[in-house]
Order: sequence, then structure tokens, then C-alpha cells
Amino acid sequence: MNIDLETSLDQLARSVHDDAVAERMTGQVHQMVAQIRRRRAARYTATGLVSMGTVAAVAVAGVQLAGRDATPGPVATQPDAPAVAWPQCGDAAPEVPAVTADTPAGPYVEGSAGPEVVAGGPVPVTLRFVNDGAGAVSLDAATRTPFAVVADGLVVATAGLSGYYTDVIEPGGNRETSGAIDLVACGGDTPLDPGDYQMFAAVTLMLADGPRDLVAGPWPFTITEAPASATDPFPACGSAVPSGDDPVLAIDLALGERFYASGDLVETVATVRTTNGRTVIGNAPIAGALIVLTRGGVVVGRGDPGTGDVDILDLAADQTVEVAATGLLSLCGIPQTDAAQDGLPAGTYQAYAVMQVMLQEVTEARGEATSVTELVAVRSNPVDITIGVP
Amino acid sequence: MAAWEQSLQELVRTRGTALVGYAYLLCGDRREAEDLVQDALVKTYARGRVGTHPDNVEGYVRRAILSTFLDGFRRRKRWAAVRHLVTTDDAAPGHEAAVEARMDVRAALDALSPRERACVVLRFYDDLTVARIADQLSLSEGAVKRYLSDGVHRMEALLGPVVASRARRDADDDADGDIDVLMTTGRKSR
Repeated sequence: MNIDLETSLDQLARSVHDDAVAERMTGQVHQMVAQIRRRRAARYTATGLVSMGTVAAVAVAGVQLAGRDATPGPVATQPDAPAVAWPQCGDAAPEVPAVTADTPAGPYVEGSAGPEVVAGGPVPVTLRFVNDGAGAVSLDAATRTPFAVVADGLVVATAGLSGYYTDVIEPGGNRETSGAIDLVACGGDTPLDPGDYQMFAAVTLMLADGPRDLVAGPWPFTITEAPASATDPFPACGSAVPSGDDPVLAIDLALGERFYASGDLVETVATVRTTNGRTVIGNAPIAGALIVLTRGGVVVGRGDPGTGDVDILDLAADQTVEVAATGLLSLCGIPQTDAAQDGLPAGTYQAYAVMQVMLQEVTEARGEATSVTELVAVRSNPVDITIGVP
Repeated sequence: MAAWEQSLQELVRTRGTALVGYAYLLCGDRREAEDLVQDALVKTYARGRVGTHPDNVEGYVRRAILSTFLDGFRRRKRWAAVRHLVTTDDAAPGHEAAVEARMDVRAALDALSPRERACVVLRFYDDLTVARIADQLSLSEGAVKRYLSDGVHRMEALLGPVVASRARRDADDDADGDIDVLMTTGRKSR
């Protein structure tokens, strides 16, 4: 049988035509109108900031014309000196202009924070860069994105986040990235108190005519009381290996049968996969997984995982990805252990490869997709590792 | 009510289902297609530069549907996870043969990569030339021809010989004589 492709495609497209579709689409108009108004308002924010930059540029040009400096100076934003006057502790919240209907097209930023975190814990944030302009936009990876946390209209904490990948967003496209930021209250080194807060961010996008700084927010989030018995989460030193959970990702780790000395650096490759037929999308560290040592289900040895960039992890049920797994066989500072001062005592430990992944979307095997913003410690199967002389 | 709001309402009322059909060819899922159209409408009207006449705006919306589809890897992942659950929700009684062929074509479309699929839809449904497809997708014409060739060959492997209309063959002869994409019968060499 020959298939008439044109006719078949036409019939296929028409197969969705029914009253229910028309009714649903019509019913969404009100919601679409609200979204369009918000986006126009976001672009108005960007336009206002660019106007501020223009005023500054005119001022610089005026000084130059007055003969104080004959050499043309840069008027573009420096990567390490944002044009936006970002508020500091105690300042008022960044101002978000009112909605207008005549805002010109351009890039804008959407995002979210939290929505609920335990006091002292990192706050998940997600930024979505949308290019509704006519030209390509690139993300400025060199700039650390500043965040401001606001309560009762005043900035009560500031923080920064780096690790965005450099990427070009074509007109009509968008990119999303996420991470977690540690918040410290202004004027001290204590975590923010439990309560309701708002998060703002300033993002620099590179356009054909130069950088553009955008203010995004506010994104509400709540800090809750930490449980009295809470300890640092796995894989922190002294934390317990979770049990009875249903992790959406797993790591397969294999280590050769050999003896290690305390202080050795272990470097291998581990395989990341999803569990139970899921499809998972998130951000994972480019550095890969950290190998930690446990005894009796408690982390007793690990090195410093360091910090680094993240990349998108996008795994379907039948897919795997290999990541580096490294670990320094050094002792945790746990008072309960009877370790020698400078190293792990000889013996057998259970090693786990652990990787912190910021989940974005999880699709169950039966097809139910859930958008999430959650930092999880993906771990491997335990592997026995022996420290000491053979 | 602002003029753009009236335009949006009018476009959704008169062309909403047609746009959903177009999006459906690209993504393969009804609800996903409706989401694509809504996203595209929001993007288009949020720009504020496309005028308000629905006839003029529709072209922008179609382009936004295309770019959103190609950019939306998460949506495709979601679809990939559930497409095996989709059976015959489009079936209408009394046209078994046509419905079967439609389902086959849909399954064959699912086997294509997003860009192959977009090229096939733009070529054989939207009736665009290779040059216009290349412009829409920001690809070279050579890349479009390759996607079309690979896509049609892949569909033929599942469907058997694929034929196009006489008019289309004529147009290909005139405009894109070196395309190796159309038919098993009478296929041209590269």
C-alpha cells in the first residue's frame, strides 16, 4: 500500500478538530491574556534599566566632549560591575515597574525560589531566560548572578550564584537553569530566621548591541524551622545513609579489589541511570560524583567535593551516562570514631558514589510528569573498600 | 479591552483548532499541541510588534509553535514517556482503513528526530519550499534536504512507499530538483 503523505498529514492534523479543543482553547484566553501582560511588564523592567544605562552613557560622553579625556571610554557594562545598582543589606527591595501595554519586545527572565526550605538549608532557585526579541541573546557566564532576599520591603540577605553555561538563545527560544544558594542573614553569619521572604535576581544577558541587565522577581519562598534533631544531610560527615527511600536516580559503582592507604585519591567512572522506568531532567555537577566512606551506615570518610559548574542531566528510562567518581580517603572529624589522628583506621568500609543533582522534572513510567525543584543526593550501591596493608 | 486582546480572542476562535492541528503534527500529542499553541500565542502577543489582524498574526504564531517545539526538549521527553500509552483516541467510526493509515503515519512521525519531523511537516503539510524551511529553521538548504531525505526514508521503512501529489512532484522538479526525499518510485539520486 502506498501512503499519500500530504493527504495523510492533512487528515492527521484535522483529526484533532473537535468542539472540545475549541472550547478548551477559548477557555484559556483569559489565562493567556494574564501571561502576556506579565511578560510585557517584565520587558518594561528591562527597558527601564537600559534607559538608566543610556543616561549614564550620555553622561560619560558629555565628560569626554568637555575635553577631560579624549580617548573614547567603554560605555558597555563591565562583566564584574553590573550597571544595575543592586541593593545591599538594609536597602529597599528592587523596584518592579508597573505593567504597560506598549513595551517593546526583548529578552526577559522568569524564575522561582524555594518554595519551602528548612532554616540553614540551601534555597533552590530556577531562572528561565526567554528571548522574545528579534536578535540572538547569549548568557553571560562570566558574571556571577546576584540575588537579594527581601522581607517587609527591605533586603535582609544577599547571595550570588555562578555556574550558568554559556549559550546562545535564538529568537523565540529559552533556556532554564537552576541551582541552590546558601543564605546568610545580613550583619552576621547566621542563617535567615524562619518566615516568608521574596527573592530577586539581576541577570546580565549579552545582546548584539551589548550587555543588558535585567531584574527578575519577586519569587516568594518560606523558611521553616529546622527539626530539633536534624543533622547535616547525607553525605555530610556523620550523616546516615538514607534507607527506605525511592530515589529517582541511581549510580552504579564498581571498584577493583585492591587495598588502599588512608589519604589515597580514588578516581574511577560510575554510571548514572534512572530508577523504575522514570525519565529525569536536572542539573548535575560537571565534576561528577564524590566517593564517601561509611561504616555502620554513617559517613566517616570523605574529601572536599569542591564547587564547580553544572550541566544538564537528561536521562530517559533506557539511558545511562558515565560520570567521573572521585574521592579522597580521608577521615571525617567525628568525635565518636576511634581513628588515628591523621588518617582512617585500617579496616573495611562501604564506599558510595554520591552526586548532588538539582531535579527539574521527573516523569514516572506510567507517563505522569512532575516539575520539581529539589536538591537530592543521588547515591550508588555500597562497595566494600579496604584500608590498610594487605 | 485592548486591541491585541480582541485579536487574540478572534484568532483563537477562528483558527485555534487549525493551529492545534499543526502543532499536533509536530509533537504528536493533543494536549501537548494545545500547550504549544498557548505558549506560541503568549510569546507572539507578548512581543507587541506583530499587529492585531488575525491573518497577519497567524504566521508569527506558527513560527513560534515551530521554535517552541524544537526548543522544548522537556516537552518531548514527556511525550516520549507516554506515547506508548496512546492508542486510537483519534479514531472515528466507519473509516477503519483511513484511521489505520493515519495511525501508521503518526507512528512513523514519532520515529523521526524533532528536526526531521519539522522538515517533513513543513514540506508536506505546510507546503513550504526547501529554501523557506531552511529560513524558518535557521538551517542551510543542504541540511534541510538531508533531514527531509532521512526523514522520508525512515517513514518509508515503516510505511512502505510514500507518494506525494503530482503538483508537489512538479514543484520539486522545478524548484528542488536535487532533493532525494520524495518517493521510493522514481527516487532521484543525490
